[in-house]
Amino acid sequence: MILGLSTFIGLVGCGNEPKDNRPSITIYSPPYSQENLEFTDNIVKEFNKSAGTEFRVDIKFFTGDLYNDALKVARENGNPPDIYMVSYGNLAADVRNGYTEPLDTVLSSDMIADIASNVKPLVTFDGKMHAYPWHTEPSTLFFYRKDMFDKFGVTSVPKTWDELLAAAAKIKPNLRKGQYALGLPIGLPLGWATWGMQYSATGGLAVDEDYNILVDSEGYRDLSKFFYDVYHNGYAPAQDTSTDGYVNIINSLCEDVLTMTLAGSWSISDIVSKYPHMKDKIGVAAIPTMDGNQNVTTATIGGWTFAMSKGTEKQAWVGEFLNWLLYKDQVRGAKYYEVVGYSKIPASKKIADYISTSVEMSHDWYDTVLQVANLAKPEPQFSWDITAAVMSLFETMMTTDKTYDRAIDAEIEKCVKLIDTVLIRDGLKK
Amino acid sequence: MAKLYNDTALTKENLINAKKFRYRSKWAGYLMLLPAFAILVTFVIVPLVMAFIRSFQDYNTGNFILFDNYRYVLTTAAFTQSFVNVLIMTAIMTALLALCFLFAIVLKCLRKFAIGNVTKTIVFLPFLISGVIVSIVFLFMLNYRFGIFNAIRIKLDLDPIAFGAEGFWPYISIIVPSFWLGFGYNSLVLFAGLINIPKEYYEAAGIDGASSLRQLFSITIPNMKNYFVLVIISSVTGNLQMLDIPLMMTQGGPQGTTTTPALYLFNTFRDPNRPANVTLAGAILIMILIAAINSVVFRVMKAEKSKDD
Repeated sequence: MILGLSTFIGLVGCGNEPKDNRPSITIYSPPYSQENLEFTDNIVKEFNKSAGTEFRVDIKFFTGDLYNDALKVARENGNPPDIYMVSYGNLAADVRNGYTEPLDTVLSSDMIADIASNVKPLVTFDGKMHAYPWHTEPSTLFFYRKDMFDKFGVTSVPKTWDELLAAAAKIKPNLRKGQYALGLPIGLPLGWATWGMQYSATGGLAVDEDYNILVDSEGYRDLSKFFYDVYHNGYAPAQDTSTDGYVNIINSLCEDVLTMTLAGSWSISDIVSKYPHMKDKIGVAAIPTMDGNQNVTTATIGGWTFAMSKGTEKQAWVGEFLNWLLYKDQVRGAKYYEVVGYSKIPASKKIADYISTSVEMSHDWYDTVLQVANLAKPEPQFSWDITAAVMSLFETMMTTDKTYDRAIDAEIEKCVKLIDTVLIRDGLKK
Repeated sequence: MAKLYNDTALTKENLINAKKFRYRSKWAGYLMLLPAFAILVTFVIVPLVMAFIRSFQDYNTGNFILFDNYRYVLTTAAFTQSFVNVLIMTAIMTALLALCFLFAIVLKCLRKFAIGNVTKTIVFLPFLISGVIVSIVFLFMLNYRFGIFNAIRIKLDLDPIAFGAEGFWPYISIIVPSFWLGFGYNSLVLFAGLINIPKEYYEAAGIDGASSLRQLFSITIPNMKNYFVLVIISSVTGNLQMLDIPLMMTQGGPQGTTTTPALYLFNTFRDPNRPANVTLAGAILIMILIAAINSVVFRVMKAEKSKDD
């Protein structure tokens, strides 16, 4: 009974504000971090309280995989939310499937003109804007422990793969069992979190726009060799050292398990909120590249947008709310970036300018994130099975008992065949 | 004129009883079955039929596209490899059933003692626990960084073992919890088979001078055939449907070697770049395969039983 009562009280009091009698629009949101959940919840409350509109906003949160399920069920029932959040990577599929309504007529031309030029193409399909971008974040950055670099005599931040391997070789003898020089994505993230590495090594990805397979190339061989060397020299752990793997890999860096790691820019937010005492001990840079040139794409763009569901009747209200939330007041818009430790870049030029000119940063992380994000490319739209085939190539090279030279040709051939099958299956190649 | 039932005149007592049990009509029976039938239709039959129909449709347009979803899933290497993975796991788990059989023999020997009953209860307990809980228990032991085995290895200045990624360990990380989970059930099924073999067979064989080994191969194993088939089929079916343990222990890796068909469908059904109804086609293929295996095996068993009769 006590349990039931507690649950009831919990449900009733889970942050819902008192209802007013105004009609409402609904937003579905996936809270991808505690900071995001609190910020989004509070900003909607602020809107309902102070915006003075004839309508109110109801926000519904769905965590993890439940989010996509909730959207699917709502669409199947013919009752999709008026606004929903969607990542850049998934937006194209939603547009293709007819789930979104263009926003061009709903938003003011000033608001549309305020979107950063490198972000606008990510939300524009056939000349129409299908979502309003909130922010961008690079999927891969290089994080390192400055204190450990000093302790182990690593004098400069690695910019090439050779320098990275040399730094790892220098660090490894000083570590205890269970500590590692370098953290890399493992399992499924080895697919998506290495898109940036693939771009930097090859200038593209496994398949080009005309569906030619590019895996049998020097770039992919070099990248495979890099993974081979890292794991066969024992520089990186063979399995995830953090709960939830790559997404939380920064925990291992902060807890002395790793000295260097690749991680997404959201890790900055984790450092600020969970490990504030480590802030001064950690450096952030673009990931090392094959030749050391870091003025190339080293990451893909992640981040979230607001889309309007197809068929919603309250389009004007949707526009009004998005305008209030993302454009009208740059000080309010900039608040979120403070909450997440400036780990993300606003898609709004006005807010980005405000942050650059008015906010004093205690470190250079934001500049690094900005520099990498500006060069970052969108996530590929080809089938995940193609990414999985490349992931399998890298994973096999990490774990093979053969020498690199004996293994690589057969593994590349296997990867090409696998991708070929996928392209034929998807009707992209005969 | 007296009422007749099957050409027999009904007595007064018959008529009183007929009135008393007037609700024993077939319609009353159907009426009572109705709630259960309605639930079955609503939650099993209708979803199944809808899933079947949708597996032939495009999710977005609703147009019928014949076998396109089936073709898609069958030409996806990861899905077909997942069946090979199940075969490998089933082969190993079938070999491990020998341990269940040995344990069943021990239980048979102990059945007259109190410890026999206690042992039966204890070994059956894991069967009552969900796969997720079992996985968490094993993760506490096998986790790369926090597991007790690796904690001990690190204390001994040895490298931790990547149970979820290195060599044959990922298979073991799945097979051991699955086997532990089913050990009690399988042992008790085999134990039931053992005690059902008439002891006269053994007495007659003993009189004829048959050795224990001969009795094992000529009496015990042939009489246990159906029980062996039952536990093997349960194992195949269970592995085809297994989701929780590989999801928790290895996430299907490395390189998809521990992905089961159910886990593959679970991992991919939210992929927006994949035709949504492909998942239904895959699920129906798994269902058909399980039904086919069960049907063939039980038909063979029935045919052999008829031969014996």
